[in-house]
Amino acid sequence: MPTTDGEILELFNHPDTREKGFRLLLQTYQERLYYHVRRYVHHHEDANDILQNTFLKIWKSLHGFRGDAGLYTWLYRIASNEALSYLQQQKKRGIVPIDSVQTGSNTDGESAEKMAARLQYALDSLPDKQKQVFIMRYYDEMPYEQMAAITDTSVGALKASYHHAVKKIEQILTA
Amino acid sequence: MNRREDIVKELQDAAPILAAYKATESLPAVPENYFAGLEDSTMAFVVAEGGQWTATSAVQVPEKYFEQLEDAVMANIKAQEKAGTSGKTVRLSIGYTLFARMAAAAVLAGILVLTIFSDRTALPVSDCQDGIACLTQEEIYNYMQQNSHEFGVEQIQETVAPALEQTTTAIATEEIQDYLEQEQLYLELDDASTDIF
Repeated sequence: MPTTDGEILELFNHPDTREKGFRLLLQTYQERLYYHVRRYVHHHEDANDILQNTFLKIWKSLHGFRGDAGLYTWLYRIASNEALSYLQQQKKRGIVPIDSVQTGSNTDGESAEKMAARLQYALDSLPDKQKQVFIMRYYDEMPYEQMAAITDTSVGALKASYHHAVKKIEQILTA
Repeated sequence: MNRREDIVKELQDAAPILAAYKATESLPAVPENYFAGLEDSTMAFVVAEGGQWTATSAVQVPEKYFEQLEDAVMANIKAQEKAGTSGKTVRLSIGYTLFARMAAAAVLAGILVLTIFSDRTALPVSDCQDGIACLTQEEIYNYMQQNSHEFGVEQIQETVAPALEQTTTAIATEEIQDYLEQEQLYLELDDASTDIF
């Protein structure tokens, strides 16, 4: 029987069952959150670092979760912010991905892996906010309304941001 | 139409290559058994970094704090009432406080210079026999200078006003400047805000 968010929170909020509740949360959401943060970075190790920090923040603050938004929306927002924060730290340290691929190609005869790498390279060129919007929509296939709840941004602004991101990536892919 | 189809359709006009990419999209590669071990490794990490949770770990409160809080608050209220300090105390902002202190420093420095240039005109002396009324103006000035943080600008101005009235004011700026240079009695900002006060 699948675990509900209510069960997770009830277990977590009781001192004796807190760890059990948190383990249920991990089992339920770890893969989805991993694949979300993985889109922000090139390497698994980076994604793992972001994920561990995300779960640490969740562990420390879940007792304050009021349920205004759904649990996954709340977790996703933390993960997304943690990923952006990680990217900003990397930029400050002058760290840039070293496995960037060249642009200028089309999809004919190209492996899915190579296409993914090319897209990741194009994604790196976006400003952080556009990158976040693009990942939410393109990879995570999230409705604009849910994106609005996570980012505290209007649906119209998100659509405009996504449009800019898509145009820029398309331009890089066709250059 | 499912959400993926919606997204591809949304892309087709604006970004056909991206739409084609979406059709071939796959999940990123993950090390073997990564998710199988993730729960334990994460649990170990959060406990090591975040600490074991207890009922009071969110906010630490001293032992028996709440049991004693009621009595402590009531005692404080009674003490306030007894002292007659029912008025609300409003703390000045740092900027204003610094300005006030510097203004007070300027007033004190001014009276010091003027007093010297007026051939050290004697300050008014009280003829009382005892009590605080017996304090001379000089004693009051000295005390205020040493404890100026306890006084407001207005209080200092009121105190030095009589002396200012009795002091020769026809002093040229150049004379004051010369005197300050001779005596190296110049005030710097830091001095005014820290050393003097």
